[in-house]
Amino acid sequence: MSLEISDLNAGYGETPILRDVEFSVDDGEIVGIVGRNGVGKTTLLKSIMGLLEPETGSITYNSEELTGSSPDERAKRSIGYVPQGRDVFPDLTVKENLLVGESVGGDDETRYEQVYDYFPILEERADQDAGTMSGGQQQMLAIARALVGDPDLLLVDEPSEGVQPSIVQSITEDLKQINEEFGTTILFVEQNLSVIQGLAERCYAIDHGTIVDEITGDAVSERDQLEEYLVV
Amino acid sequence: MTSGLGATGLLTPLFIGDVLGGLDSIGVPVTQLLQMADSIAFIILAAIGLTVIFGMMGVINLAHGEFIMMGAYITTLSVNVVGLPLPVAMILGALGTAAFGAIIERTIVRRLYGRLLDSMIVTFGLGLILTQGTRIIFGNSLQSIGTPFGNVPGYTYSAYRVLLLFAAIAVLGGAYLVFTRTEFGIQARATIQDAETARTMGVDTDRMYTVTFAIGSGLAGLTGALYAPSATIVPGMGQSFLVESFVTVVTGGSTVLLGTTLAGGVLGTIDAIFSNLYGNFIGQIALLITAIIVIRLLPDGLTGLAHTIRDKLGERQ
Repeated sequence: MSLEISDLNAGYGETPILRDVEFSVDDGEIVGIVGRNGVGKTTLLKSIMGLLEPETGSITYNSEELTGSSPDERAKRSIGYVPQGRDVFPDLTVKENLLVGESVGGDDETRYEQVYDYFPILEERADQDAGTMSGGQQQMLAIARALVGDPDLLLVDEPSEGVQPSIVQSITEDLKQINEEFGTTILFVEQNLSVIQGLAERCYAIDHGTIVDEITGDAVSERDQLEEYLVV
Repeated sequence: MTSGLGATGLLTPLFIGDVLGGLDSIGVPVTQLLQMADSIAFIILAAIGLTVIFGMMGVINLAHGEFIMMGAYITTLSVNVVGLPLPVAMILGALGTAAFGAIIERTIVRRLYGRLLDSMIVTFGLGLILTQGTRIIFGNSLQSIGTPFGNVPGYTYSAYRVLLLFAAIAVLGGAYLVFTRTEFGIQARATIQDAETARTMGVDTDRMYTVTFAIGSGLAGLTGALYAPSATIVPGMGQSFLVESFVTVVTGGSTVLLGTTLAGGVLGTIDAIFSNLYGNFIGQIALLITAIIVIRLLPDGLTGLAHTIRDKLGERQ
């Protein structure tokens, strides 16, 4: 078992967001967390990445407990994170953003040039300030920046948000290819139906901070079942 | 006295004297040129530490002048009391102030990020403590080290003050390289832009803040060390750097190291002209008026103008 969440409760101050969340992700899987706005998807990824300390519960990765460790320690345990809204470093160049992604260390190998194979536009824009690129290009950069750390588990928060449909399609294919080529486990949250169906092998539906359903096999490609958890 | 500073190579007083003599013979106003170089060096060196702490980290460090004073005191005491050679004492001045800055960041400033007013009050108080503490421990002044190298041959102008321009350029260039060409520099800039995201990339942001603040403090200390041989060493000496440093960083704009370079050139020239014509007080008034005009006309400072010019040139190509 790669990632296992049990009895997770987390929130902001006095406001509880996640309630008794339980699910698991196996090595090499692509798993989607689906749900409407404000149901706790981003809070869940932030809790896994260590940006939000849970009130109770357990998050284990490769049988090691993650709760209590800092985000940089989790990054060094081979967990990559693509935040919602990209959050590229706007005043750093594309190349510098990628170099920050290498901060997880581990070995002296430089990987930032390898991600240019997936995202050639980033090589063309290597010396451009990241903040001046389009939303889709910034999303590619955010994914590439996480990949240069060579993660075994990649957490991706709404990759389609604010990105034009043609680029969304391309990003979906890139993530799938990364999973196939490197065996990278991907856990993503999303409410765009085409991304969910194009990427996920199985899904968990979240509502009011609780996992309410697991959608597996052919059910992932059935529009009606997914829309139940996405349409307001 | 023997300064211990290297007196060989291109930048010797004799060489500078020859160059200036050559310029003089073709009608260049050498004395004014020297004053301009002195002003530019002073402005760049006064601002360099603040460029990192205020310009990059956003902390209004009102104890910046006292950090400069600390560098000068460590240098002077290391020469006068311990008997160290001046270059070693200068390095000690910079490193000692950097270490002090690291302690202050860990114990005080860390709690004040994003709290602009609080950080101003606390660093103002810190400045008062440092000034008065220095006065209590070391008295009202220290015996001066004495300025090395004498005058530029043929002129009644300190050769050391001329060399400070080259020191200023070297310090600025070094800081630029550290923050743009090293792994630490890129991680530090990422941390300052978005610490949360930097942490998810594996960056130890606490360490980045401490080291960046220490570098800013060390640069302020280096300024004090470089001016120690030619300044009057008193507890309040840092105040004479404060106006120039803040005006330079604010006028320079968002790309702080480039901004300091541009602002140093512009403000140094203005300061030299007005101070030469009307005295130091009017020179400082001229600096403040220039800052007000620049901020009014160029909200992004001189670097904003530089970026606009660069973008327009890029569009033409």
